[in-house]
Amino acid sequence: MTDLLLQAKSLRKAFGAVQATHNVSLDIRKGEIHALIGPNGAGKTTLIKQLSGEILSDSGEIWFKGNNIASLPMHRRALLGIGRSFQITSVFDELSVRENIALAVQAHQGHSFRFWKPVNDDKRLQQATSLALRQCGLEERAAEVAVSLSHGEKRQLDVGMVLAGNPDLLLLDEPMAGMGPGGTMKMTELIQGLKNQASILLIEHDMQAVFALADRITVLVYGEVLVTGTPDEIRNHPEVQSAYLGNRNPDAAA
Amino acid sequence: MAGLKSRSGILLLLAVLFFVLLPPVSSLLGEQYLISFFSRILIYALAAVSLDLILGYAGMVSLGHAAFFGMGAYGVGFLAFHFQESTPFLFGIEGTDNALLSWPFAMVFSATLAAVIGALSLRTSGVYFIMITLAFAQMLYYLFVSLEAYGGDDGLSLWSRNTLGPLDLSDDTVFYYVCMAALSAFLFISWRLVHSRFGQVIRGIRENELRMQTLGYATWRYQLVCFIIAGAGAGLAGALMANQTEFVSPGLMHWTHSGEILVMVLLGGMGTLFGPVLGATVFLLMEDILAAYTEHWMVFLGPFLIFIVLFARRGLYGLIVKGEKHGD
Repeated sequence: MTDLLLQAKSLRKAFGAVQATHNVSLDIRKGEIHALIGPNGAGKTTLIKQLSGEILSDSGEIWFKGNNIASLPMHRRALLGIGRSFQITSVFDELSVRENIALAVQAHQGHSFRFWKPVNDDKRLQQATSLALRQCGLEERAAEVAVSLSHGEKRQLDVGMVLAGNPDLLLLDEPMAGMGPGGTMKMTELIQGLKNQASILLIEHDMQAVFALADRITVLVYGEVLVTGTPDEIRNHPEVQSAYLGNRNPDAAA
Repeated sequence: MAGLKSRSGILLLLAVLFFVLLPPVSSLLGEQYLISFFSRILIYALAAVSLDLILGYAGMVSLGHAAFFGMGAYGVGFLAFHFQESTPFLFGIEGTDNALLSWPFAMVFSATLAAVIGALSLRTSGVYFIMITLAFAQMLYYLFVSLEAYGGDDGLSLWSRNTLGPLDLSDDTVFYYVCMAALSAFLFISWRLVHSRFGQVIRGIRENELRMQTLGYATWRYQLVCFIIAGAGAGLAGALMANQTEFVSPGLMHWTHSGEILVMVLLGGMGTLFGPVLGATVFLLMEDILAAYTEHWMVFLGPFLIFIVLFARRGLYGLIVKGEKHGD
């Protein structure tokens, strides 16, 4: 059990009469890429929101590094080591690339009720920021306002901000959405590279990427876990094929 | 701060020269009334800068800022009233006419109120936040209208301005420089604030609150602290206003008054510290000049404001310093 980073037990969330997630149990091992797939409306994004704390679960437990975090607010979970990138790229448009990264770094350097010292003179903050900028490959663009970046660069920045916090778990909600084939390949490589730094829960529609990246896959249908297994097990699972993959071999389909 | 060769640096230098030289020049020209008129401008500029902290930097649109302005004025008013009557104020606190006591008291008074109103209002956002701040301010307005002990609707007259050490505040020129010092101090504090870690956080929240939470910020706390600081600033402006007019009334808290301060910020430029100073100056000058011709002077202000808001994203200040980085 010690190799488990996160363990979700019987998570449930209803919006009125609609059961978005129903008895979802899921565990994420240290160092694995765990993909979450399922048809539209299966509750994937709801589950990510439950795990990150954007919405609180109606019932169930979430164990992360030995704590039940199910009732903690989002910022507390973030500080514990859960990083999240959004389905729609979410950066601070009017701030510079450097300021974007600095905000992510600053969040993990203690509270920010520091009213007097200008951030530009703040060595501890600026050094860590420079390092994080190098890591996400945006050093050259540091002075640009985020809104002027290209789509791919914004994605890079988005992920860079998450990584600046050195999370143990990354929740990636469709990181390849809206990318061309070239971008998808780059992002696949990037995620592969992240594997050494953090465990990853990945929602993605691009099946080729999912089967290339994932160590394990959980299939969510109508808010319930259909099956969890290795890519091979999922590929050959009869119910998955009929429910989701439409009886086709995913390799052939992609 | 931006170098003196930049446009914002030149503008700042000209503004400082203008405000410093105004009293002697007015005296020379025999236009004494300009000194007290520009004292009023300095006071409103202070209120507008404080509103800009929450509006321009933290992205919270409050339509109740005059409540804190009014509370600051009443803070001075209460203490002066009990000093005149020689009766104790709440909790055995004695009245006073000493500015060193009553102005900080006014600021704490407003800040406390801002803490309460902010804590409740920040449960909402967007339009609801606008409406709830408006509602709180109106509640206070009606509360003070019904406070007969302090003059109710008719307001409260002060016998004289506060005392401030060796300075004679009843002298308009002295009072003018005191207002200028207060505005300069608050501008400097705000400038440090918006460039600090705290400042970066409130700007981040303005841009994307959800993202800030996923990065690990308890956004609500930062917004509340910002709201309280702005409340204290408005409280100081109110304390000065009570001294300027030697009179306080519930009208100071009316929502139209909040609207005026909001217009000053929009006119001058949100998210620029010196913009609101410019906005307050232009607004009050327009009011003064146009009101001489017609009591419907807002007819001219309205289109002008629409023009500025549509074509100059950062107001008049943005038009003048265009192209320079946000917040400098």
